[in-house]
Amino acid sequence: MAYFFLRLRQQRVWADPRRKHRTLLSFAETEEDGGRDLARAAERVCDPELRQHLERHSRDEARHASLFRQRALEVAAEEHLSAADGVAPEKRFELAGARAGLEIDVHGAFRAGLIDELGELEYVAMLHVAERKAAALFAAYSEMNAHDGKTRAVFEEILRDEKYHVAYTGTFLDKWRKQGRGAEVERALDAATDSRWLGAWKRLGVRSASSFSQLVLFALYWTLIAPFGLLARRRAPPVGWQRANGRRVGQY
Amino acid sequence: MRVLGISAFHRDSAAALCIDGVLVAAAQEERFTRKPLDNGLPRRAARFCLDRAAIAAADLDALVFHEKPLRKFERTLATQLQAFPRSARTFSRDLFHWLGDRLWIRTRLAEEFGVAPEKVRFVEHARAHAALAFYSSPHDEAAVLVVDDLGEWATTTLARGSGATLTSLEELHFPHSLGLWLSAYTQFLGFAPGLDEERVEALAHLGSPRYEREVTSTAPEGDGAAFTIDPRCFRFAFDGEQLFEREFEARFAASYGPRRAAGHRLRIDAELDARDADLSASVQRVLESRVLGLARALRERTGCDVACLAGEVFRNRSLVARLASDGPFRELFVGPALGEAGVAAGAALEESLSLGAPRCAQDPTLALGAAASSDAGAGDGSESGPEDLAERLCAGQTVAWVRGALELGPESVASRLVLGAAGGFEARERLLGALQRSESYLPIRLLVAAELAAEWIELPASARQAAHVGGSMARARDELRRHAPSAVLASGAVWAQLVDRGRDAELHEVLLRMNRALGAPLLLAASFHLRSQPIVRTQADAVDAFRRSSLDALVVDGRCFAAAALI
Repeated sequence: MAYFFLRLRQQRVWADPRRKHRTLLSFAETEEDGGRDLARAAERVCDPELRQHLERHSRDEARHASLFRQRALEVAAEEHLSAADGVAPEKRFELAGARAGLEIDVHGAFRAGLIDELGELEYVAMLHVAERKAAALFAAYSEMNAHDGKTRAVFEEILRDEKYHVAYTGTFLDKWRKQGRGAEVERALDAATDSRWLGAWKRLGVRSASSFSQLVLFALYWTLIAPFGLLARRRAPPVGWQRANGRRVGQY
Repeated sequence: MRVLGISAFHRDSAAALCIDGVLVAAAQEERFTRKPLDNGLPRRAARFCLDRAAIAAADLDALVFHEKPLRKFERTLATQLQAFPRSARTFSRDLFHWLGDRLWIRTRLAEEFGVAPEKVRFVEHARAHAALAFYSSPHDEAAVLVVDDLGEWATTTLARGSGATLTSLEELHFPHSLGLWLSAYTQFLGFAPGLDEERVEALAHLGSPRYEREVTSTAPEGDGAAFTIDPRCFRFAFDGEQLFEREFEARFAASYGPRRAAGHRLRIDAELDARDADLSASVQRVLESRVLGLARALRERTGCDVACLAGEVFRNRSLVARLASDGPFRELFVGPALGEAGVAAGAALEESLSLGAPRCAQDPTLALGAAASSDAGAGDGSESGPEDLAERLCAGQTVAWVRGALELGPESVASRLVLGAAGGFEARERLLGALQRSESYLPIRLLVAAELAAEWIELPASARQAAHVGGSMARARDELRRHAPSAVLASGAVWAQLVDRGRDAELHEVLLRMNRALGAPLLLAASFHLRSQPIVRTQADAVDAFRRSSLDALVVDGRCFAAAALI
């Protein structure tokens, strides 16, 4: 059922060059963020073997970012898109980009600095859950891009790495289980899964509230606001020098 | 008197702490989150500032935000209504942000930073820019020119500073904004508006202004140098995403053709008619002409022969050079941190002085951020001073040099640099290539020992202060063209930064050693960051960036790490 809804929504994304371009760029950003966080995590962990895996994982994420970015550029060139089409919404003028309080971002990746807030085991558990989910999503996206060989090839290449990421995190979780920390591992996996659901629930809430509010504002624009708009059109913006109002620091 | 200044929600959020009139800490959020141009609330930067001064948020006398929300909301609403019905799409989006978040900024700031709501104050955006430029200058009397993209209403401000008082004289109001006008052309040329204006400036050096007449018609000059922006061409008054109108494209289709799509090859050489370079040169020419007009008007109104420059638009170094050579002022002072990060410091200064703090001398480069080696290291490394550094550079190595506190602003003047010898045709490409920056048309900074600079570059006396912070272009002399051709742009301009012993003894020493070894006190330099990444902050960031680069060595606070040891 979940796959059905995902397919329904994502097929429209991948069929629209603008949305495809933006999505690829946002994937690149997410992979970059993830790579940075993994590099930080690699410096913090005690186990040298885990450090090596995290460092490789971090390099993988950086490479994925450039693969996504490169493909986004190619899509932009193929479809004659302008630069504005690719600028992430929060980087555009005047838009607040704060997503405070959300444990994971829109693509299911962790926000930066998570290793500082979680322990080593909990961090690996979060990684395992996220990578498993990412592998499933990228497999689906690859399938949805059957018509676009280049994009599909990008997903296929990344998918190979994702499988390795799932495998090594799983190996470490098994190792800790064998060391008698099974309950801790299960708790961490449950918490990671729960936080994904909670994150998804919060995002759904924010998105639907945002869409509904904007719909109401759009309706108001054509009803209540319209007469004021027609009046305002008659008043041209001021031209030439204006006297400075001289107000210094103060309220609002 | 403890005042924390905050800038956020535009781009490059930052926090700055001012105690008794002196800026003691300042930091950009992106340097902590490593998210380029992070525009969220600067929580980490604010925490750093408070930690640096060892105070708690409750100890603050005021927390000041860099703009007045109600004035800005008024402007947003008015411009959206005036654009009826074209603003149908943008109205709901913009109003949603305002009604859902931005209007309640006082409560949000108070909650996020843990201060009482009555301590949250607001300063006009242009005034914060002006305050930073004037109060950080050494001048007691000066004219102040702010040319920015957008704030509340004012986009351009003429002001006069005297002692601890700053008086705004006249303003040009939104949508007549040179900053946004430049951003619109940036978007037309296929770059990201608000981010890539320096690319348009760089392209201008490759072209000739053959479209000047057409570009002039979009921003004609009116009475008293007050320019107007043609509303038929631009829609940035109500739309922050698509800055120019379809009519703009149609009107000039016969002369310079359609916009450049992102990813398409730049038309910068004769083979492709050099359209993009020529259009950039035309935009640059008109921008300079408008700002020269504003400077003359300001000189007339204030009678001052010294000017402090502030606002995003003065990040354009060619513009500063033109003002220095053809402008009416004897001396120019280019404010530190000209971008949006700087307004946090400006707001803190303005509020401090309005609360009665004295005007004090400020660090001219705002090097008030974190020191590098506060983080865990990557091994011990070997000792490295100016002598070792100069030897490596003479041997053709590219070296990242990290030392001291990080500056506020888009470029690092001294604390986070990558250096390379300036000689030869490949020097620029080798250095920028090592940082994954490959655009052939972007300029590279040339460091010159200040007392020997006259042999290598021509620089008007009025631009010397700007050149000390890398804020102005200069003209290359023949000797420089021969020795460091890759630093000289096609137009003969060079992005020069003067280094003198008094301000930076270590770097100066390296340059003198280069002079003794190679016969030229020159180095190529760039801020230490990889492509599209923020400047490195800590040793860990530096090691991470170094590993991803192809630089030869990394020196952190006097310890050198060779590439082989870290990879």
